[in-house]
Amino acid sequence: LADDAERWRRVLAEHGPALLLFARQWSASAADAEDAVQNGFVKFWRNRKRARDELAYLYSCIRSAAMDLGKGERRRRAQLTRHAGPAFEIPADRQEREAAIEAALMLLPADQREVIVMKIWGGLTFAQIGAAMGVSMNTAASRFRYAILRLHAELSAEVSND
Amino acid sequence: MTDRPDMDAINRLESELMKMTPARVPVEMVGQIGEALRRDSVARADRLLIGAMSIGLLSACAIVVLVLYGEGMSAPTSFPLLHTGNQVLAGTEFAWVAEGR
Repeated sequence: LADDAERWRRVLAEHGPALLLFARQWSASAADAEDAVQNGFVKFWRNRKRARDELAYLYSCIRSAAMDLGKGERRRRAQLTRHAGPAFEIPADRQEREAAIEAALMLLPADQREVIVMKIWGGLTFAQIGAAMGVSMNTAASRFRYAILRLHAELSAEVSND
Repeated sequence: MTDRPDMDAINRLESELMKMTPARVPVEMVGQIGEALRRDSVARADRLLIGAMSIGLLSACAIVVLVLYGEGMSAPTSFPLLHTGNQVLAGTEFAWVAEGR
């Protein structure tokens, strides 16, 4: 049991921040994202030995837990009004730039945003992203490409507006 | 005709994104996950125990029925209890009585 506790703590330490960021894509608040990670992580831990790819399965569990939590109409309305808190650890000298990137990320369609989070901060391969989202590896790769292009366009537009 | 994307700028953006660190997992959340996992494993252990006990109980019942049935088959008349006048005797006892033991 002590080994088990050590293992889940290690998995959470390694993937926790990216999972939390991932869960925020559907959550009205930071607290909801934490609940989603907790529910999804427990489900993952219970069934992980049956998973073909543990990391893909972990993300897929968090995804469905976050979507379940975010389903209610009240939560959807709350999403529009509540502030989720900072999603990144932002160094003082990069506050403006990282805030702009975060804002540009929020403008992406949800399916592109989740690919970006899984790829960049989760370190998943396109095959794993495809498995987590239930799409092909090629679809995951093209969503990533569109997302990066769009992010670049948004950020360039912002620079030229300034 | 669309402009070709500036791949250098896109690569720079990608590495810039990689340098951004997602917010840490709050310590309380780790505690809550630990508690949820502990509750889950206790509930699973309980379910396993109840399952094992049910299987054990069913097996014990099956063994008793088979033993009684076996005893009944070795007795001269019906299974599982045999009436001799006002007495009710188990199959083996009846067999012994019948054999004059």
